Amino acid sequence: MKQAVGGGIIATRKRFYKGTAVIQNDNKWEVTLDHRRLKTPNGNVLTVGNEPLARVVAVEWDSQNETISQATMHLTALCNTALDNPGKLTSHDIVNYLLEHYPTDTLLFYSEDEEELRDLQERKWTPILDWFQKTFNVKQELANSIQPPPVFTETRAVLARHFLSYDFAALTAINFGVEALKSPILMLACMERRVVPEEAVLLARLEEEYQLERWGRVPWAHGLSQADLTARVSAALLLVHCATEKHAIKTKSAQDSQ
Amino acid sequence: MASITSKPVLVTLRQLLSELRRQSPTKKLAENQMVRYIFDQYRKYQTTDQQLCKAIDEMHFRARTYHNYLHHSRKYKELNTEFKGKGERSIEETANMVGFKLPHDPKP
Repeated sequence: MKQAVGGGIIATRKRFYKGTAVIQNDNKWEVTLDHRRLKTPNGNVLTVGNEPLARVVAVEWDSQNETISQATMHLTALCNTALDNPGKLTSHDIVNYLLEHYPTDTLLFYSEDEEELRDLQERKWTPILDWFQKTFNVKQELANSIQPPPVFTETRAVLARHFLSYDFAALTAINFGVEALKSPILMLACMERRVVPEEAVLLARLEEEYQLERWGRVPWAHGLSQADLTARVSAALLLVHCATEKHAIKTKSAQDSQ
Repeated sequence: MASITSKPVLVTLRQLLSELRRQSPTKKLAENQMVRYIFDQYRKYQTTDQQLCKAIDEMHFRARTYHNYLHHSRKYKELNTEFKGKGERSIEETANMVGFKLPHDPKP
């Protein structure tokens, strides 16, 4: 259904359902829009492996008004990408991409020119970098000027092992979060619950925040960017944590029965 | 460590419910499936158990993440509507500006 907006035409759909619900099918969960099962763009039924994720997807659809604003439905988009895999990626592809992104992590690039900014970065970023090195038992140098820093083989191995412990759907989400943050380290900090998405985005945008304190805020541009990135990162993180919770619970019940 | 009735946990719960109320088509929270699900989850963790202490922290973090998601999704849509431009003028408007009328399309 097309709708004219000024001179441009955007494809929009009107809300065609009254209510949403979740249903369980064996170990899988699905979302229903009225009596219809929610499907991915490729026509597969949207199934997820845990109840909370199904529920937040259902809420995403339920909170749409008269028109469905698909561009902001990040949870659904992530589930669709994980199931349809339009990019024809494997888990290894995603992990390789993440490892390639790592040397250009925002947190490794401190300002050379502005002392005030550098001070701010040291105050805000150094604790995260220290936490990262301690938690993963790795050493990481900072970048020198615009050149990415060297990365130990051991560090790559540790990160690869860690990322590969997540399934394909979770990796899709991790990738999504890393792209929004431009920082694998900040995404890992979110995954390990060191920071909430809101804080991670503030840290990722530290230089922008610094500059606009000095030069003035353009509310629609900066506020919009902040809100958009935080929505993306929190959607990604929800997917990762919902997917891994099931794993944790299984481990606990195995211990209990001993 | 966190207990289910500690202040931060309750603050998050209140914030989460506030966001859900804004976004739900039915304004009555009692009917909201997600709200009932959240209360079920919170009740599950009410038994104070050393083992579950970590689980409460995890659950609280998940609640904060979900609140981040709802809150910032809403903010994004609001900012977008508030600052959205009118878009380009339509062909008809442009023609009217210079005093022309559009030709009639022949019937197919």
